[in-house]
Amino acid sequence: MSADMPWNPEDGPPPTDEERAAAEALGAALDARSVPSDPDLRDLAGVAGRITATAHPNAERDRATAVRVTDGVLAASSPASARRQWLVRRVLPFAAAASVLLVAGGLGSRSFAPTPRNPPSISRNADDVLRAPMGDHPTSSPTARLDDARLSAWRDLMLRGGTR
Amino acid sequence: MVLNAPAAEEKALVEAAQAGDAAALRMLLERFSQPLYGAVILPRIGIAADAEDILRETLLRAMDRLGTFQWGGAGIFPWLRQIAIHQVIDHVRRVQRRTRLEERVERQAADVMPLHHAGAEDLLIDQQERALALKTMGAAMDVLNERYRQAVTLRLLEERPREECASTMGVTVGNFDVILHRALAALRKAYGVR
Repeated sequence: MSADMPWNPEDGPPPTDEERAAAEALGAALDARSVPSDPDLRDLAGVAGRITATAHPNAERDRATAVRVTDGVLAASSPASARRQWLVRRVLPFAAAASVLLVAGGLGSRSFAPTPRNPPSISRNADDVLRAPMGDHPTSSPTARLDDARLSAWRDLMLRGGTR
Repeated sequence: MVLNAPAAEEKALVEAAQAGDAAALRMLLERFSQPLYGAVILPRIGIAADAEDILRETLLRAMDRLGTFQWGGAGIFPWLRQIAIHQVIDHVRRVQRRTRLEERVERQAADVMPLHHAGAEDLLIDQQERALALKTMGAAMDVLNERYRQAVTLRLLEERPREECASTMGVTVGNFDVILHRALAALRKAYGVR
């Protein structure tokens, strides 16, 4: 068949170059039994597929596909799968959040940890408390004052943003 | 109403599945998924990957709504088929630009009830669905001009190579591609209203 054979007017108006290119791509895709990526060609390949599926049913292929899809759907809805999905949806986010908090806490404690460069901002030395004169009030005993001082130091730390 | 044995068996399976019996559900889906795929969905979609997705959606939707199904004389297949057809229409609407008129006519075509009854042999279901698909295809082919119909017949019905099709029609392969391209575009339009 000659490549430059003229277009037959019975087949409609002469095709544009663009139509020729699209028709060739569709013809090649049908030959290769592949699905074109272009939406319009994909649509036309679907029309060709409708004709083929209607005229040439393949019961064996259809059965294999149906069994595979059915198995997948049932497996996805099985109780074990549902438990896995529940774990993924409910537990995983909390576990992830807890991990993030732990890591952040670790980083935070590093920055607050007393080091030679970063000395503790509040003295925990209780000598001054213990050496203070005792009063009459029951809560003025050295141990009570020590407790008060520790509580106060802890509260200060909390108010500065530490969570320890 | 007295049911024959296969219909009674199908009804019992449906009721067990509705009551939460996983094995009964599996038997029902395994039995009907093949005619749904091969005779209802694929002949209306044409692309295997899309047809698989639609079958998956159909089965999931059927499982979700199984509790709402009420037993009728035709059994569960028409109900499943109706879900599948609506999934097909939704899919087509997503990927194509269809007019409201075309959609309405398609929905009317989808509402045609199958002739088979509850407990029918799979083969009977398959044959009746395929007869419907063939009728639709024949009606769509009838609106094509003779040359376009010849191109579709040679390439898709007789599955001949492009070169042979071109030679038979007395055109180049490039021109044959154009004729087939135009024929499929005309068929798409014809299918749209059937």
